[in-house]
Amino acid sequence: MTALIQASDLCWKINQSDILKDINLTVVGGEVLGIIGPNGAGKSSLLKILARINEPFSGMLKLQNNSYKEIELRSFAKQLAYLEQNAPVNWPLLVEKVIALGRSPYQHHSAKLSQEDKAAIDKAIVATGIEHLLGRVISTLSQGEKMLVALSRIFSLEPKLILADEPTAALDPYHQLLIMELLQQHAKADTDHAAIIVLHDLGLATRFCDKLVLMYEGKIVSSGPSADVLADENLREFYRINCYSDFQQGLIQPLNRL
Amino acid sequence: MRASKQQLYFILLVFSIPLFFCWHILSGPTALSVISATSDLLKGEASTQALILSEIRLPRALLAVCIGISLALSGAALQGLLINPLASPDLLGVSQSGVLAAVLVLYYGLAAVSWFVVPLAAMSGALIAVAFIFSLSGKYQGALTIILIGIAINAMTSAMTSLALNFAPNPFALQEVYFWMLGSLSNRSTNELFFALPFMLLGWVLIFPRRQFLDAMSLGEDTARSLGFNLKKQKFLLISGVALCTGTSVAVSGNISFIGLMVPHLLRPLVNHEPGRLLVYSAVGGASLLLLADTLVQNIPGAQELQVGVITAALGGPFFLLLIFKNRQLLR
Repeated sequence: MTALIQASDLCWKINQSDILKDINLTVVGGEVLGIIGPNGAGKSSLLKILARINEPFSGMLKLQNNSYKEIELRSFAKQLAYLEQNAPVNWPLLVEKVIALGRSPYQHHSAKLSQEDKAAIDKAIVATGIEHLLGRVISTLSQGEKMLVALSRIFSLEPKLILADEPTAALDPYHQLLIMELLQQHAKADTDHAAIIVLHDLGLATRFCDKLVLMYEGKIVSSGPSADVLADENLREFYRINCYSDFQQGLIQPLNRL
Repeated sequence: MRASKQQLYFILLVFSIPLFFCWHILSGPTALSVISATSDLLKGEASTQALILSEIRLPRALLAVCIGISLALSGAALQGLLINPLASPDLLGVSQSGVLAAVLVLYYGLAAVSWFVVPLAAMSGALIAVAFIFSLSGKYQGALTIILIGIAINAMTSAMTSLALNFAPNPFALQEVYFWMLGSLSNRSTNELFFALPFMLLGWVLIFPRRQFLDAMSLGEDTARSLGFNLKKQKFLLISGVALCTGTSVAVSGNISFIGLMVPHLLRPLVNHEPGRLLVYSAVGGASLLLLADTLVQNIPGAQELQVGVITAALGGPFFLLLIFKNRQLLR
């Protein structure tokens, strides 16, 4: 299996204080990688660096064996989509406009949507099942519907990789499962597809991720299958909680603080 | 708003421009027969009527169109860029800096050197303000930082302008300063038009192609970047365009307030709030509104012609409030 994304020795600082230290990470095709860790561990910062939104202070980043720096911005944007936490939309745009924005790497110069653009947008709308939301204004939707629209926007780009920052935060259980299933489906759809998801819900992490990365104070302290990463001693040391876990069932339930 | 209704409003807006333009040409302190003036002009006869048309009426109307476009376009671009409906060249202190520079030149009597000293100073003032805002915010890039810096600049330049006003050596200078602070298009000639046009055109050329970028910015800076836009470059081009448009506008007409803030606001429902499409609509709306305002100014009786900035603010304020009350759910 070839590596889709390879990060080696990534470091990042804000005002001399280390946010990320010596991050090494590989994502292979078809994989769903979960990034977990307590608040302030550097999960979102790492995701933004992987998404090329911020540049690392030092270290090497490769997308399919090409260094990030060698890939032109727009062709990079066509391959990798980034889903921001809460997927904000700052103007009350129509749902179809928000989805069409996903195609912007293909149309920086012409505002007109091409046939391919339209076909990809229609496919994404069907895949996320939001036909009934077309014609609505985004600010009138519920958080779950907004997230589905955002996902539809991401799918319309037809990217290889999706990087999502807490896509299930503030969603009801139905939408949590739906969003995770859609992300998983995308990752499994092709051998050069994958998804990297920052998650707080440890249950969803065990259930949907093939591999987990546990971050603590800017470092990766554990990585591998969920049963290893979410072992009791890790949860105690880094999350400061006791949990009841049954990895066969994909269950993990926080019990008490330490 | 339904698509057919949106189209109808836009068509009405486009057709209002020739209408207001003609009304504007016909308005003025002396009666003008457009037909005889045009025929004299075409024959090359230097009659009084022909001169009034070619040297006074036409330049003033054309300037109203160009300045209306520039101010509204700058406002729409800034609001899209900063993802904030409150952003406008007046709020960010860009216009005010231009005014300060113009006032200082007037104060020290440098204005007597040549007619273009004052416009040049105003333009430099606006450019310096934009460069200052951009260089300070460059490190942080956040929209809020830019707005706060703008507010600080606005406060400082306003204070300094008032100070200059306080020390003004004679009442005549006071009146000149008053003109710059409120904005007016009276007594503009072809000189100002030809001075302003190239800079404004360049500004428009810099702003219009940023449509896709402004649309992407509605998803936030990070997502816009992830969609493949080079944020530094796009911001630089956009802000340079705004500086050129605003600077030149202030340079020839003083600080005409509210157009940059109000026009994009009024027209946003016609484009489903899309910041990219809003650019063209704002340009059309700005031209129309300033033509109308400057026509009204000339038709309102009084001892002295009213400043056009007074009309834009008087028209703009109530409209603006109405709009905010109508849209407060959508604006959250």
